[in-house]
Amino acid sequence: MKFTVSWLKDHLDTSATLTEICDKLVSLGLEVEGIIDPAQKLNGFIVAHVVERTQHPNADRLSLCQIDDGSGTLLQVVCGAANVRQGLKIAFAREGTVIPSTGIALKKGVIREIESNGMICSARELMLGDDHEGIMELDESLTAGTDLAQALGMDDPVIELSITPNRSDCFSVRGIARDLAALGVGKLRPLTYKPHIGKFDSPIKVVIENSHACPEFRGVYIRNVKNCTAPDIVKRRLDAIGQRSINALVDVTNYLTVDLGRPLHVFDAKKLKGDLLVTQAVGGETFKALNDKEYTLAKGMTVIKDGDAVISLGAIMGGESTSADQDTTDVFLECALWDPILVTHAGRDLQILSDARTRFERGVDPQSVQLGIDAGVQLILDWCGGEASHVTVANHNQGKPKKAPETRITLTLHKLLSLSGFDVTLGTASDILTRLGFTVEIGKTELVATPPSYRMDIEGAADLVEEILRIIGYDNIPAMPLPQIGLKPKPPRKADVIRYTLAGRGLNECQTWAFISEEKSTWFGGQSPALVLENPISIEMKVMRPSILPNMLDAALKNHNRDSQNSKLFEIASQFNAGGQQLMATGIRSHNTHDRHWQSNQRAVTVFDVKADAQSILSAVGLSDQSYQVDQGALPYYHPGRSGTIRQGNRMLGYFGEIHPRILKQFGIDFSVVGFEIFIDILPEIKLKKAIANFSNLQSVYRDFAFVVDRNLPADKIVSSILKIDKKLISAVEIFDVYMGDKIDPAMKSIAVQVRIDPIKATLTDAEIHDLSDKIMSQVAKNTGGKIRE
Amino acid sequence: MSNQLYQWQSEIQGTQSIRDLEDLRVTLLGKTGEITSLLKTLGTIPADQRKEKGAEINHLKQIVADAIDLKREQLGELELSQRLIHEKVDVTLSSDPEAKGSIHPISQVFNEIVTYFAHFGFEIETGPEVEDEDHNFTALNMPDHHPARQSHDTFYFMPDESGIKKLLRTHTSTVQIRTMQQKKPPLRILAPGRVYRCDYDATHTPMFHQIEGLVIDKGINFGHLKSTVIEFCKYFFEIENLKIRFRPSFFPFTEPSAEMDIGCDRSGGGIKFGSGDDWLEVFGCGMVHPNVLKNCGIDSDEYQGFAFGFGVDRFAMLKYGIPDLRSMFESDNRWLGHYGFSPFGGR
Repeated sequence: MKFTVSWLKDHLDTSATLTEICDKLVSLGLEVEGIIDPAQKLNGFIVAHVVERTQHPNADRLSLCQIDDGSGTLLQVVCGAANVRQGLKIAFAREGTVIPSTGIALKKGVIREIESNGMICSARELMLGDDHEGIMELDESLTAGTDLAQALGMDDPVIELSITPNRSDCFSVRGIARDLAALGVGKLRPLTYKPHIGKFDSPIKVVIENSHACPEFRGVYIRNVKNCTAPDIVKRRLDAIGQRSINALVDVTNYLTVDLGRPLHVFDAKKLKGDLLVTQAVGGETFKALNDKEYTLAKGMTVIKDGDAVISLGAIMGGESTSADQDTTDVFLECALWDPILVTHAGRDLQILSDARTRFERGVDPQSVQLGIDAGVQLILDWCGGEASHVTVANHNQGKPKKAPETRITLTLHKLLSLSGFDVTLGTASDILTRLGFTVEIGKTELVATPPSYRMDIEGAADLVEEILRIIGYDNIPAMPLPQIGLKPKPPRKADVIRYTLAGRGLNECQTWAFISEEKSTWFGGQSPALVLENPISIEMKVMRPSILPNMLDAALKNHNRDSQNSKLFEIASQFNAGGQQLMATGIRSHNTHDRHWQSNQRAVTVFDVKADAQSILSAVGLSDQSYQVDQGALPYYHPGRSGTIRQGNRMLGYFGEIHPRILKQFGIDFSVVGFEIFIDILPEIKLKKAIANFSNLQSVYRDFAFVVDRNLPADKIVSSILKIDKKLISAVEIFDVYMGDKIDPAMKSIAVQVRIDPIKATLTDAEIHDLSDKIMSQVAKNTGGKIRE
Repeated sequence: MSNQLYQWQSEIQGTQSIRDLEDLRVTLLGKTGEITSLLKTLGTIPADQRKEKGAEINHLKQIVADAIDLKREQLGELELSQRLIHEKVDVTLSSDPEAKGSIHPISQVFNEIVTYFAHFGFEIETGPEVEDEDHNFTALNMPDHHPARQSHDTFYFMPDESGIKKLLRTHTSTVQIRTMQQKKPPLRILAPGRVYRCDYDATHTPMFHQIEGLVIDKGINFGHLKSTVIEFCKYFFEIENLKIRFRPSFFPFTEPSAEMDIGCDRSGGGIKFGSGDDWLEVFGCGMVHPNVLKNCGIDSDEYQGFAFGFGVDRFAMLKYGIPDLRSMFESDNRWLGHYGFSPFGGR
């Protein structure tokens, strides 16, 4: 919402400065988005008078002028413009004035040996236009010494506000002035429009079919108008707020839309075919709007028809075929109310933005219809002459709409104090509300307020509290510390522990888009049509990702293309499928484990690097190695022989492995990538440790065994067989050698393990250790067929 | 004898290694060594001279043995110092490579915020990113035609069989609703998470991060709201004299509603807090609208409270001087190393 300061002062009698006005607007909740002060660049320029012009003695093309700048002393100035002449009123810069086009302060000059004390300016030098053919020729009636900005009517700063959706009343200069007056920034001036009395009956009548869509419609027929241009001040104001002045008749409606927040429309009455009907579109009609665009209407949209044709979209935009132009002699002025919800839907569907739509969908004052007529008729008659009919009030085909009951809101002192936390009396509250136009009945412990018709946003006690606090000023309400409550120790969150674990292992955390291309989604098993966006930013961001790996692969490739290899990336975020969203910890490692190094040999990343990442996550949340199983193979986008699935019974905890070569090829990746995915939601919550079991100080015993087993036997089977023998005594089993080669049967492999035995109560005897060793050998033989390697 | 001793001593002094010294020791003091042989000759000496001669030879033996021990020690020192010189390495060579991982600035800032509010008993709640109209709009007092809906640039999904469209949540305020529908007051919650809006340019990304705070209890008022958000901003930006401005605003789910601006200086190109005459909008907040409480089955005559929310990405940029919003989502290894945080604290 834009307006100028002089426009505001039409409604508000105030001596406040621009800065004061803007500060107050902000504290009222009317956010100032910008201030444009055109006078700023003309600072120092004045109107001056060429008292005498003679030829420069040393140059044919230069003039020597005696200039009256209003100071009483004439100044000698050299001027090169062809149009300078005696008696002209000119735009003048004295010595020291900063020239806008150069930003340099003017100095006294000597031109061809003659002193020059100032400069006569062209429009271009003042950045007021492109004309540099000659100097600006100002109105003869101006007085020398007058401020140039003022003389040019450019001393009227424009204020732009961002109006929140609730404040439909502030989509008008009147409404803004009203709010400022309530805060005490001047006095609201009364409106001067006189009640309209017509001279004849309107030959055009209006019928409303759907009272819900259009509760009220008034019209006036004005004949013998002469369309012309609006007064300069109106044109300047419309221009200042970025609206083109079109012609006086159209400008009346545009001006009042901003001035009073009361949209109006003028039809060229001669172009109308009979009476008007407010009805619903049947669907499929085409309509050419005032913006020169053609629209196809959907069934049920509110329209105005004359005879058979749609001539207006009511609240949204008028039609091209019945618009007022230079030749218009008779007009029909429309002032109506339209249902906000229907306006919102139609405006959204047709994608038409208009000042009228903006106001109607937020709500136009239901009591403004007659005011709109009075103001509209008066301006048309003032600017274009003519003769106006009586007001014609539309007939409702289906009976008049019911009047909405008056809103009466009770605000108890208790609610006022408890919401604001501030000591404010009912008297103060009542005073503020009254200043804002509310009707207030005050009692001992509560007040009852009826909002003015233009405040349709006020619905309950909380709204009244906001009104009261905003006039008091939010900054004047004391801050009060939140009462302290008892705290309980909280264990860390899983996702945080995992994040710090992975970063501690050298991976960099990323944040990547949750949507990917449809194609990539299918590569990772995405198939849910419910996760396809209707209005994506691009086809690359169209589907909610079924896995975070595609984002990680994209990132690794992008880094690779920028000559940054060995990516180590992870993200903790959601992936999506038909079952909903799952919080994942997903990561990749690419290329080599590390850069070339003088003593540590480079090697390509392997499945065991990401197995370690996956296991570190499980360990970080408190899952021991024995509490889950690792199976060979994972999802189809992993290398089938170099991947694994981690599960607890039939609950999948995650996957890890080399990315399938086909997937890498699809991405255009020609380097190694391994990845892991862990389902965070399924992992147990982290528990705070309470008392911890006693620590045994007895020395550990280590025993080594080498078993020859079938080549295809998962090595883990040996480890888990041994661990199960005595969960108390056997605390760890580590594989320290795997041998396949000519020293043993080619169908077999040798697995060497170190078993750690931790005595609990007393040091173990040789017999006990021997006994345990026997058990280990027989249990492994039983479970795996493994024999001790000779 | 003394000539002999002198001879032996100079032989001992002349040895160059512990091995030579050991050979000499065997030659002199071994079973068949010269001095041992001398002792063996004692038997041939007359008895009256034997004692004196014996003492003399033993004294001689002692001197030689001591000289050998001393020499051994000297040679040991020498060999050690030679070994130490030999074992010298260039310690300016790099140690084994160890990858430095990093925490993304957005996570870092989430963590800072959550840690601060934990001191006041705020607990974390989360909710789904794929949402329905009800939780994202309707329950938050934004019925279908509400003009505020249009400003949300909502991402919608393809309609299902019954024509219903799911959407991507446009704010974390959805979590307010989900929490209040499930838990009874008093409540102090924080809802961090991802939100989505159909907007992509230099200052908007289609996915970004928000955090929402909610306090519902008896007697919670506007003053509590002010104190909570002001003190947080001072803490977060580490500026005690932060200039702060509250102004009325509009959110359908709060009443009264406010926005908080902090004073800043934009004259240097960037944004500096603690000085200047400019303002930067940082928070949206307000007292929870009675309709929202009602929609969640909470009696607004008994309980009331406040909610606040803000964009975490922007807070991260402001605090840590990250110039480009979009760079946060590009997963550039070098950027992550540069702007990321050590998992062990600090930079």
